[in-house]
Amino acid sequence: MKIQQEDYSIVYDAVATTVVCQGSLRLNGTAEYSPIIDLLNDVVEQEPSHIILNLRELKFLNSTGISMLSKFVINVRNRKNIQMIVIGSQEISWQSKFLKNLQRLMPSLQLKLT
Amino acid sequence: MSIDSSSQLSLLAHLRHELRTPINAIIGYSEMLLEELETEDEQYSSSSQKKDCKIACELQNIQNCGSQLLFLVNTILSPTQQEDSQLNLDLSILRETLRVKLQTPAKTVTNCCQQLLNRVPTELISDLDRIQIAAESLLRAIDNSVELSEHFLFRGDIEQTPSLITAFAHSDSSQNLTTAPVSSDKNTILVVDDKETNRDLLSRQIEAQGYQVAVAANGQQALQMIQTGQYDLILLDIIMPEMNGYEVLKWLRNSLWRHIPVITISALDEIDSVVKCIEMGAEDYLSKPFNSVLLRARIGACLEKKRLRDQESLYLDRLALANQEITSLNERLQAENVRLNAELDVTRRLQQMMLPKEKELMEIDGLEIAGFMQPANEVGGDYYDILEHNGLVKIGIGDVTGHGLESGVLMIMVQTAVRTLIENNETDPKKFLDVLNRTIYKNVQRMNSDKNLTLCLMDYQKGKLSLSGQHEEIIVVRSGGEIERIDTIDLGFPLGLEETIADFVFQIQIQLHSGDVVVLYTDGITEAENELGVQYGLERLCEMVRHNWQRSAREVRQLVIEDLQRHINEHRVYDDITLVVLKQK
Repeated sequence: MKIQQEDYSIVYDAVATTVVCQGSLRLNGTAEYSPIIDLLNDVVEQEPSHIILNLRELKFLNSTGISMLSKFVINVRNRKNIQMIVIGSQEISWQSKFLKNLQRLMPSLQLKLT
Repeated sequence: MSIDSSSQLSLLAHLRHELRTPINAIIGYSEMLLEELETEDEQYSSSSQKKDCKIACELQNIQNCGSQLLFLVNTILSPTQQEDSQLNLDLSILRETLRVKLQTPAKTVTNCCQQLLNRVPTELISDLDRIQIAAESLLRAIDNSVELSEHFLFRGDIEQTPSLITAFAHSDSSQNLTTAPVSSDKNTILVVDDKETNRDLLSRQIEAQGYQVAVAANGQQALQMIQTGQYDLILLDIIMPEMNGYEVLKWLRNSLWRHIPVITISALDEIDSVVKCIEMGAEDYLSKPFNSVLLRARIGACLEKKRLRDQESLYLDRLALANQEITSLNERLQAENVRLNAELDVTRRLQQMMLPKEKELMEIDGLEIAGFMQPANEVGGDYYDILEHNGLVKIGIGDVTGHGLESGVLMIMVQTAVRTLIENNETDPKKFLDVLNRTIYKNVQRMNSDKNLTLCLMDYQKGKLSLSGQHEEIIVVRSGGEIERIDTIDLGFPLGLEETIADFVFQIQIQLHSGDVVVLYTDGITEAENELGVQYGLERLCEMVRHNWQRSAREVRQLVIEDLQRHINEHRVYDDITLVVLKQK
């Protein structure tokens, strides 16, 4: 599964059960985020033992996008049987702040900031 | 007798037309018989070939006589031929000339026919009969030409004149004129001619080319058939009694059947009538005697044109239908736009009416306060408020995710809930935000919405600012220009996302001194883009405030907004822009 746009890309590697987000995501409202939400939900539906969310190259994410990621983590948490690992960058300001929220939503989530 | 020249010209035309009809039949049937003989030759053994060769010679002879007769009629009755004698037409002399010149070839035709009648296969006899009848009626017509010419001149009206060859022309008018019902895959051609031989010849030639044929013996009958049948092409004779070809053309062009192409049938020298017909909408013309190659080509071309026209009109119909759909979709879109715009107008008004009034801000003790909010086109859900209760000042700033009515409504709920808690003397920050979150969370669930919001609340009392709740960084510029950025991530959690957030809520205190400036904002400012997609950014905002800390809160607000507008320039504003500047007096 893959969403490739000029400004960003979302790629799911089924073998590594890793979602890699890159670029800048500043879409307008939930409607514009829905293809990405669908992709993430599809990954959860497959119930892999763990999911790695790699955000290291995601330079910017607006508040609707942060909200979307939060919902995704809640969704994973509610399944109770999926281990969640988020890889981020301390140097990207939105990540240094908001990735903490993801850990608060799902205390078992492993946050790896580089 | 003395007759004027124009009457003489029309008389000549009339005579030509009448005499040529049997001659065309002689030529046409002999040609057809020759063709049939040829096909038989290909089919049968060589034993009969010798006999067939003789028949073919005789038929060729008949055909040559026919051509000769046609040439003679055209020459003798040519208007140019008569011009030399200043159009002083003597009918008796004319009759004699015709008799002398035409008799020999006409007789040859009848003789040949008689000789052949005993020798041809039985299926060819009826056509041979037709040739003989045509030759005899030609001779009769010549004999009667004087009487009938006078009749024509006195009546002055071609339609009232009995045909020179009435007996011949209508010899089998009792015959059923229409053909079998139209089959769907073959093109059907309607042949309109008052002369039986013409109809017969044409029909047979057309059928031989693989088309279906229907025939009409006059204009009236043609009109009836056109209205009830389905025809792809009409072959139309011009000179017919009662209703001539012009009248049929005129009627057709003003009818629902105007798309059916018409080929008019005329003699080569009737050039004026050909022009007139084409001006009246005929597609093409065919001259008598009918040449099968030319007939095939013209019919083919006409039907192809009609097919293309039919296709075009089908496409046009489809296009019109598509256009209709687009129009109705557009109307719906417009209606939807009107609705959306109305919705956004309502949201904008709700947002504006809930903002604290200037007078309220002036009454706050110890603080200079300047607020600014500019909604985006698609109104976001920015929130800021300053509320006073029992000497305690509550300052709030927040941002609901997304845009539109839902975000606006949520912002109003937050405002009301905050005021309710204040009025209820809730001073514990954990309880305050926890109750507020549950209130919003439950309403968001009920609304089946996916919205949530950041919210930072500050209590202000006598220079002390107590902060709780998660939002953007708070900028503090100390008097002198030193910047402090307060991260609020660890002070709370987005509201409406989780049912309980009490565990995440903390409070910190900031002591303000005279001249200190505090700047609150939403991401509408820091994430505002210019044409190149470059964001305004937190650093630039801090710099602006740092350079202008000594100015009044209102001035700082104005300078920041002006600088922001310079940055955005002509670029689109995506989000609400909210700025609150506090200055310790």
